[in-house]
Amino acid sequence: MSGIKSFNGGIHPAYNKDLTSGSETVLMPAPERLVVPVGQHIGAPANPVVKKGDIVKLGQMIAEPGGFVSSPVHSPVSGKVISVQPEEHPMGSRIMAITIENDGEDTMVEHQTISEPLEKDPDELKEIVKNSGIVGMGGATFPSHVKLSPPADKPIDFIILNGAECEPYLTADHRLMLENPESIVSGLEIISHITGVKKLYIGIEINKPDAIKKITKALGKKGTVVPLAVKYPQGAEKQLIKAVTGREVPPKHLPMEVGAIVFNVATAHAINKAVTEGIPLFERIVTVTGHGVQKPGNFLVRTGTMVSEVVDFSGGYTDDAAQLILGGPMMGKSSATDGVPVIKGTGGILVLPSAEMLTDAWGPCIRCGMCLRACPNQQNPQLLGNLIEKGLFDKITEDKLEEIVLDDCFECGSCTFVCPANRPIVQFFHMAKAYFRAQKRK
Amino acid sequence: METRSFKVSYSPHVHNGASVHKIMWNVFLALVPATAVSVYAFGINAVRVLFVSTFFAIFFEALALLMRKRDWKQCFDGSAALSGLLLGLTLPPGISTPIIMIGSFVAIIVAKQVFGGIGSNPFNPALTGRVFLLIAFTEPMTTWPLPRGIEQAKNYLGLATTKTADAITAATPLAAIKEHASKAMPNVSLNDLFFGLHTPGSIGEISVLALLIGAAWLLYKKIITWHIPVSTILTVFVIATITHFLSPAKYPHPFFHMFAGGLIIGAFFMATDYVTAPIWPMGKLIFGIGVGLLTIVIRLWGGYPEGISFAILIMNATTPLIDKWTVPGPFGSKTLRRQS
Amino acid sequence: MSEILTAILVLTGVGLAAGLLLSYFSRVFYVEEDPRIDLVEEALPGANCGACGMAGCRDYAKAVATSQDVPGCPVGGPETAVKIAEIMGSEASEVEKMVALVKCAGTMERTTRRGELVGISDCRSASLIGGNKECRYGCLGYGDCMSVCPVNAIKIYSGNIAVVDPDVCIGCGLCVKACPLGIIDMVPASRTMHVLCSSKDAGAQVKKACQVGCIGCKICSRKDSSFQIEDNLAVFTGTEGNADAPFVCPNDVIVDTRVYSVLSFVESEKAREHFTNAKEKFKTLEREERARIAAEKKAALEKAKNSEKKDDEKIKKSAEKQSRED
Repeated sequence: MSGIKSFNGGIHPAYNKDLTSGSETVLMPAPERLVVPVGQHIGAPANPVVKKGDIVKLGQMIAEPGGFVSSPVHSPVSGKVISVQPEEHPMGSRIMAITIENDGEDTMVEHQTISEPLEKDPDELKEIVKNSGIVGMGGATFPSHVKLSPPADKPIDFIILNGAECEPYLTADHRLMLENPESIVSGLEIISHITGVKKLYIGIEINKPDAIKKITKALGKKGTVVPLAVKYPQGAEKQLIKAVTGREVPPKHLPMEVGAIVFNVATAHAINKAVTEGIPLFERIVTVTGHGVQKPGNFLVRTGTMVSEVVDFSGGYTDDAAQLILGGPMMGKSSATDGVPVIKGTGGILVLPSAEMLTDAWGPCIRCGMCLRACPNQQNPQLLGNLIEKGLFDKITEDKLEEIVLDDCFECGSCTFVCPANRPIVQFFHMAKAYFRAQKRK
Repeated sequence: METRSFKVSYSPHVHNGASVHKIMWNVFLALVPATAVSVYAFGINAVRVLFVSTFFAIFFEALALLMRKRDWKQCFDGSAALSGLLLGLTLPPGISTPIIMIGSFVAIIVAKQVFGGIGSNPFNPALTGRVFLLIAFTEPMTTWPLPRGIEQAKNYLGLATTKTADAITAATPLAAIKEHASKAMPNVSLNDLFFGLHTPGSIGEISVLALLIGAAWLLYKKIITWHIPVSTILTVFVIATITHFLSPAKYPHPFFHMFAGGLIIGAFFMATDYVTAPIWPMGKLIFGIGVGLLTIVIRLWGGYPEGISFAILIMNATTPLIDKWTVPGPFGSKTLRRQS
Repeated sequence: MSEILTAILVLTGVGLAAGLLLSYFSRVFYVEEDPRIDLVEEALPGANCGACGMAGCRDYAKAVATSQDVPGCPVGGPETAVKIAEIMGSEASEVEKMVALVKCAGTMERTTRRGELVGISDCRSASLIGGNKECRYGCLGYGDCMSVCPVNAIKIYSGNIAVVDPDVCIGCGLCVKACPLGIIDMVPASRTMHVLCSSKDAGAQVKKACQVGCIGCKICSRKDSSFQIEDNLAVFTGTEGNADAPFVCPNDVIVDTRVYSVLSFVESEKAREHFTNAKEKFKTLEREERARIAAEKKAALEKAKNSEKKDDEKIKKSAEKQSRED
């Protein structure tokens, strides 16, 4: 189709978005007790600045950034700090978290609102973004202020907002685009003001025609809405840039290498809220979905709310709920327990019944080449997967495969999705990455 | 708050449902037209050959798996059965049962399981089995009973037919060309070659039409890509055209080369074997050109009338090298090249 | 007949010529090699395990023959070191024989499980998605260590836990590198007391996760100063511990290999039962002992009081005496 842009490779999983795409976002009241981890972003974890017994207000900074690539954490409720100790984290480790008892008042901390942000000094706005704990809300949770500060020798030509939402099942961004298009556009304008970039794009997959319509209307002449082909991983940063601008980000480089910066639509919304209303990032839309929950839907949830509480609020599990996935089915992480909090990057809570779980055993590679055709990075998952399976790490180093293939792989799962032998290629890669990280440390 | 425990597995948590089993079954399905034609043409004899080769392929696979202390039920994954069927399709219909068993043994045990079973064999098992039989049992492997339609067959190529104990045999079109290259060009109808009911040959190779129907199915299901078959057939066609126009008396018409012998079954069903063919598109093209070149060279100037089996096996040996040379640059490497 | 003769003659001739050529070239291109390399290689255990960091025993022997400071062969231990020193004519460096120890006794029954792993077949992958036990330091039991062990000294037992057979272990240390959790340690083979836990979590968390976890209570260190507590975890640093130390541990983490093998202590219900009984007995004895000591103390105190009284009286008397004298 002409006009519909995309990239090479990729797959077409069953999207299952109609489970929740029609249901309006429901505000979930804050629970009695919230566990707020200090590590909700990529980079150095934040350092807690409150201690047990402290009284905190809604939106008060409770942990300060632990470095430049880091982000502060704000209290999602007003109340009393019960404990500051390591707790279960959605990523599967135990890290420092601040437990707050909600007093139910939602007393907001002192904050300033800016009605005309475009007339303010860009650096001042950037400072607000930084202090509001805004991170990439598509799942990678990269601190946004870092992206807003490109080095001087890298001219930026494009700002692209990512409304692709290519992960199956998830509809959080879709709902946001329907319900808050003006806020997204306003956020985009603020980003444009901060970076001084005038070419603005919003990429949306064409399976969301209603969102394309709303955003086009809200955007007007300020930028361009780019309809994208429905293909996974269309929302991956580099693939999105390729589809929208035709430029390919070189391996091991950041998007700014080709003059592009990408933000999620939800991030733009958060930036707008932080700048115009002075509300830092402490809540997000979470899609609760899958055939393992009674009533799928979209919910506006405070960070720190337990997953179990969110599912309970939505209507509870079905009897045969077997697997809990935080995120989408392609890149989401399978969690052993629902006693973990929702964090800034949690876009979805997907519960699969046992019948939908993948349990087939995997076999030897038959070199069918399907993973090569699926790989959005035009890599060869087959060869490297085989080497890792056999433990030939020396051979990988010798052929520099860990530099060429591993470093650039973002574990989108396309190769594993199409593999007829059911080979756990993503698992192999994950393992090898851990191996080489450990090797480097030595 | 009550928490609940869940099963944990690696992402991705969904799959497109493809399996090795399904792929093998689709190739089986694609071979049904060719098999049906051969059963119609050669009768019960074709059924016997195909059954024996397939059955013993599965049997030897199970045996080898047991000896390697693997789950013997893996022998039903379809790959052994497919190797057996393909082997049977490349044999002459009159061949005796023990020879077929030996062929299955070589294909499965020697060519496949010794190297580590499915996915690890460097050479195409079915073709290894066939070439072994061709060298070891040359006489029975080059005795070609005529298909039904004896009336037309009597006039077949205007050549003498030989009466053996139970069938009338004659040379295959390619063998006839080879034998009579110095004399007048035998008159072969391209129609006969295309529909395949009146020419002798291996069980599966006689009907080009049936094979093309199967190939279309494989392409439609995206089980094979166009690269290898197209480059192979095109290479054969180009060289056959050149030689034919240089010396029409000596070299047959290019369409004759395309329809006679095992080029079609080889190019679509054997050369495209996943395990033994290159993996990148560029490599596939090189591989196909190599197969085509070797095939036509053996056909025109070699000692054997047909060369596709040798061509594919020889090119199988180059696969690792081709794979190493044809790795395309990863996503974004174009940008890097432009910058530097 | 003559054909056969010709063939034999030709073949013999070719063979002879080739042989002569080969022997000539082997002389001409002979590479001078230190004869001690062969000797050293012979003295080595020959496991080719790579624990020394070299590609095999031959490489190690070459390194020994060419340079002075090569670390001792960890597998061969002191005997090999002495042999090599003899060959090289140098002083034998001190090498203590080491064996591997999996510092975990948390079988499936004794630990709290988290989730259920599906489609995972090795420890490294399992550790990357959070493991199968509540305890982050608990043996995953997929056998990465078992598969790298060159002498099959490690086995995974029914409780999903790896146990090293110290008699078979050659101390190459490959399993230590293979374990993604880092819960395998090299310990001196002569050591008879081990702390079978690696958890550095706080006591409350350990209690929640495992029945046999070290909570860092320091009771053992009071019994025997060879126990040191680092990061909430007891580490035994001596050779032979106080035989009572295992009994004072509230969570039965310490094993005395003079009494139980590590394997039986981890796996065997019988050994555990025996241990529990012994501990009970010890506790009773200790209680009696304490009672006795207390009684003794009390008696002593009483005595002291009495004597004090007497003293007082004496002083009084003497004082009175003095005052009278005055």
